[in-house]
Amino acid sequence: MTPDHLIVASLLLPVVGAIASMAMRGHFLPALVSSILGFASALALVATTAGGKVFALHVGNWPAPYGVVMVADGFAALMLAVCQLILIAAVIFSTTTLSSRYKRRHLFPLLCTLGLGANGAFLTGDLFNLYVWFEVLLLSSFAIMAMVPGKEAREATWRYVVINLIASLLFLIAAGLIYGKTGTLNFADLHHLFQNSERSFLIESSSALLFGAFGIKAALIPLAFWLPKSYPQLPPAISALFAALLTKIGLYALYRIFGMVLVVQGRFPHQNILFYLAILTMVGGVLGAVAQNDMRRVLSFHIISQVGYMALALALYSPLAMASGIFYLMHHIVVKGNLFLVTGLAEAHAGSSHLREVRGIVRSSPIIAALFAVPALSLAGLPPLSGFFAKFSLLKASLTQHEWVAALAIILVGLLTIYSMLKIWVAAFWGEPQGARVSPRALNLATSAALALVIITLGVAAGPLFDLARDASETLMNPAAYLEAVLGAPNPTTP
Amino acid sequence: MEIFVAITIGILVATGLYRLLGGCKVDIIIGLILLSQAANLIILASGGLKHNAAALVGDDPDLSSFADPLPQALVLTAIVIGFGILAFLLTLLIRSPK
Repeated sequence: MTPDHLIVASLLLPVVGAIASMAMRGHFLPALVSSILGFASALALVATTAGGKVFALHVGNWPAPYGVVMVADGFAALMLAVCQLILIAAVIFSTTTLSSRYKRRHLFPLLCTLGLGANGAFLTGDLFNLYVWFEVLLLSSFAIMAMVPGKEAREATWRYVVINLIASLLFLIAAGLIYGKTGTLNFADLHHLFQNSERSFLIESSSALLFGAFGIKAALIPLAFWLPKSYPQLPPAISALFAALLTKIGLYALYRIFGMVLVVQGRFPHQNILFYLAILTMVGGVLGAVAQNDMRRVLSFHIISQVGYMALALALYSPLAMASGIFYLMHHIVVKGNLFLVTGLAEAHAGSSHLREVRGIVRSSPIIAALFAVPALSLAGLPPLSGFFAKFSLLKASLTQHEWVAALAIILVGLLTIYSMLKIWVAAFWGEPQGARVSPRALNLATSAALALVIITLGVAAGPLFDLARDASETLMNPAAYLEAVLGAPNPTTP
Repeated sequence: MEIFVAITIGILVATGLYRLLGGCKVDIIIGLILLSQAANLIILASGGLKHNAAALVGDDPDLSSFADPLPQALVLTAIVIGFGILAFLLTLLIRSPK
């Protein structure tokens, strides 16, 4: 299989899965098979792109700045792999935990198209295409959210839809303005243009619009308050997928556009604003988490706080910081997804997610407690789990750049994260069990255990994985290989 | 020509934002529609507006007599996506509790 085949496979598999699942009246099997095959092809892409190689697929053989181009570099391949992994887990959990109400209503085709939108957003090499893939992703997520019954869930869906549509409009306007100013939408061509142009300051206003659009999607703090209102309403299998995927795709777009396309001489527009917003997001998110009394809401606020860490890595923009940011993204997607899934198990087991109503899960089901402890400790950043290496390398990057405020925020927010996790642990896991307990299904436990194993592997084998992240960040920060793969000759001339 | 389009975009954004902040759900939908029309016009205007020029029709070697075809393709895509989302929003509105 050539890299071109793998790129096509990542986009074609979800489409085939969705159609087959629809043909089988929404059966889960095609979705599961297509996500597993997608995971395998993403792993193959990771292997082929290792060492900073970049492969571009020119759709329809149109030459680069004119036609649609799909690009696989290290960063895109790593993101593809972790997202497909979480998609597999979400499909398995959906089959076992959701009521037939969801399964009747095209849940699995929609999960496939959600994966399709994510894969497309990772692989695209063109600003307008990124918008289109975002819409594919968003419409699938809207439809999945609209299935959730109840008045509160409807209100949450409405809020989520409207805020995301506003973000999409900002994105669309920015794309139009950038095309008007530069005459191209291709990432490689744009980057090439800004490198060799005196007029790159013209891009500041449109990049502010892009910043707003991606900031809403990634949930940076002044733009994040839609998240804790909508995610806790979702059933665990779905909220795990949304929590792991959706904000991280906003972050991916921030990394790709601001960390690569708009960079001129090692800086990108609005870098200072991103720096302070990132710290605000870290602190504000974790303070919100500390104040909550419901497991789902605590975890939702943690997403915001963690997004701050990854945005901070981008704002620091040194090779070490970017590598740790990419490692953090991988770690966070697996950990957050698993944490939501285990919380779902604990909730089904004890009958509630409210910390005042749940007691003594350690006694009644030690295995759920153990499965919760692994991602929770990893999120808090304890060695030897993956979170420790993500936070440690970020801390080291901020110390070597003498950013003391950032370093202080990393440590303090880490401590508060541990505190809020301890709060869940003390309230829900210790004490005497009360009320009836439902024993969890073995398949769910096995899925969650597999993800926990991935988290431990990410921690124990942090070295080789960090090397992959470093290769990916080098391609992102110094995109000579990217430009060559997309535009062909090292110095393309205008026709 | 550009100045009229710019003023139209300004009016669309202003009225769209005003309706969006109106609070009631129908207001929000109307606001979003107006804003998406403004975005479409921005894309169309971004390629430079030309009077009476088709996009790459005929074999005139002088490229400056053609309109830029790319914004037209983009705006077509954006209109289709906007239409789909509008349909979804209206469904959501009908199904949401009064």
